Amino acid sequence: MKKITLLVFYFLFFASKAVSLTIEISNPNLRPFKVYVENKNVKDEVIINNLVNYLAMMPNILIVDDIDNADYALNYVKKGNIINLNLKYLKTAESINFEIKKGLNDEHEASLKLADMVFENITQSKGIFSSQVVFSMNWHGVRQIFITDIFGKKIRKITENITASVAPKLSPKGDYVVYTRYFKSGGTSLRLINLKNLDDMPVFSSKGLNVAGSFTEDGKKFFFVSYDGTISKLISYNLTNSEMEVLYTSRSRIATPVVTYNKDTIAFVSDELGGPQIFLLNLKNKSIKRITYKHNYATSPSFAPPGTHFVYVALVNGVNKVFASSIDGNDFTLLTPIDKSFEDPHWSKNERFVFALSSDKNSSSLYLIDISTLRFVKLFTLPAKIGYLYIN
Amino acid sequence: MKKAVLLLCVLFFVASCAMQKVPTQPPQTEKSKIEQTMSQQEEKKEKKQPETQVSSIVSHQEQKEEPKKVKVEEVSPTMIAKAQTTMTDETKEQSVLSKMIHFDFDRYDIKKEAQEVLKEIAEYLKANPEVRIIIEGHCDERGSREYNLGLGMRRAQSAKKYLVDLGIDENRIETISYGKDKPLIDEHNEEAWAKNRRCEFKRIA
Repeated sequence: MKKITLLVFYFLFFASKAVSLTIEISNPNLRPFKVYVENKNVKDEVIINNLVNYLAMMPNILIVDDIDNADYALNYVKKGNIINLNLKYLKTAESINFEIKKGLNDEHEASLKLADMVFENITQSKGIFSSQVVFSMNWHGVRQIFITDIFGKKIRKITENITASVAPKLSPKGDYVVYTRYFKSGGTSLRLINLKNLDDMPVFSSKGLNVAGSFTEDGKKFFFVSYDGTISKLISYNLTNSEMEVLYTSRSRIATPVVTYNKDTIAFVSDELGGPQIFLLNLKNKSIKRITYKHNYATSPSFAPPGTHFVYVALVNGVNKVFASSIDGNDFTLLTPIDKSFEDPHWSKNERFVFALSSDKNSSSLYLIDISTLRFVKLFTLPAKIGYLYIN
Repeated sequence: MKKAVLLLCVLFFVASCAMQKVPTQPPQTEKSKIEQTMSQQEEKKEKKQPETQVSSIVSHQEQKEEPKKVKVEEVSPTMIAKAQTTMTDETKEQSVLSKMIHFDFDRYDIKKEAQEVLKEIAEYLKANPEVRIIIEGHCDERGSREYNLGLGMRRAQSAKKYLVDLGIDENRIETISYGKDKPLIDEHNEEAWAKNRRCEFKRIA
């Protein structure tokens, strides 16, 4: 028996009401939660329609037509300007209400927030609908940085540089984007965009490459690698006081420094031993430890929130395949057992899914992979080859 | 008591030195950034910096970076499809600089045929002492974009080192990597990959 208590929460500009609730969850990770939507054919409410569509896309939620076969029932009642959404757990008949005011400025964003709340109540795990996606893409001949949601809606271009802009990374709360801008005559600059006040500030520039990895969990620092073709320096940048600290220096190529959810370590890719492999850097004693052994070419690590597992990309017969592994390497799974290349895997906030990008010549698609069932869901496709995708 | 205070002072001093933290100026203005760089360069002349200090890599001349406001533009899939024009390549060369050198997979050593091309480029640079070039390192589509950025950089550096060994002033040669972002041939086969693993040479305007 798993118990949760929901407190009062706020929904955009007004307070919504919630009631105290106890839900029994059985087999939360092994089967989809079956949800019956009582009035899903009523198409006049954008937010409700979006909510049902978004929930239906989740590999661990199944929208069913038969209430007798369902775990939950969703219905809504419209009273004037207010929509009252009710989620009922059928086994105990306990329910929770979400009150939504119509006429919001951004119904799409409201749908995503509502979907997160409903998803969290059904699955007892973090919602992923409010995650943001950043990437780099050719825009009239020059790579620029773009941001969107996980369904590829409301795509916004956030740079307008005359030289290529690549490798954007989002802070956990989605308030900052750090990215790399090229100089025409060599060298790169690391820049930081504050998405609230839209300031685009230079952080660090030098000859060679300066590429950010990820922010820390609290969003106060990010890691980046400065590489001049000979020496790599793994550096942390503190957003509060602009201080930088060199954490590790090597003659090998270092890339993609990422958080491991263990405050004492960060992970990175290095060709220290020949081909690229993933290593952990102990921030206390500066020792490094290799954690990938099964492939000659392992890159792009992303850790699950508890820090016990990570995903990475291995090159197998010329195809980029995504693998999940425990830190000790014992628990090991191929997540993309198809003849298609995937890149930029990211573990979702709720540990249940992995996002991964796959590109063809003229298009790119973002997929959600259910770790438990290996079910794939295509979240969106764009008519362009996008790259350097990152999800917070 | 005095000894304890003295010991604490010494410990504090040693600890601050061991931190290796390099306070840097907040990224405020172009001027402050340039001043910071210049003072660091002067400092560097006076005493050799330890390799682990950030300032030792802040030495690039091109610090024309300024704060600016982001102009957010909402775009549609139709606009995205229209924007997929060929990547800008305004510096296409018709001379010896249009030649490229190629590499094996995940390697950056200069092959024998590449040596011949680099010798020709060195001759050209000797005959045209006013010309400065940038060497672009590129990779094939396999592997991650970020790792390939580093690989492309190594390739560009290898080519630069070879030219410097042939007598070209290193200050005339810049290097950059585009990883796998600018493939010459956008196909998924060995032939395309071999052509995409390359260095290109461009004149700096």
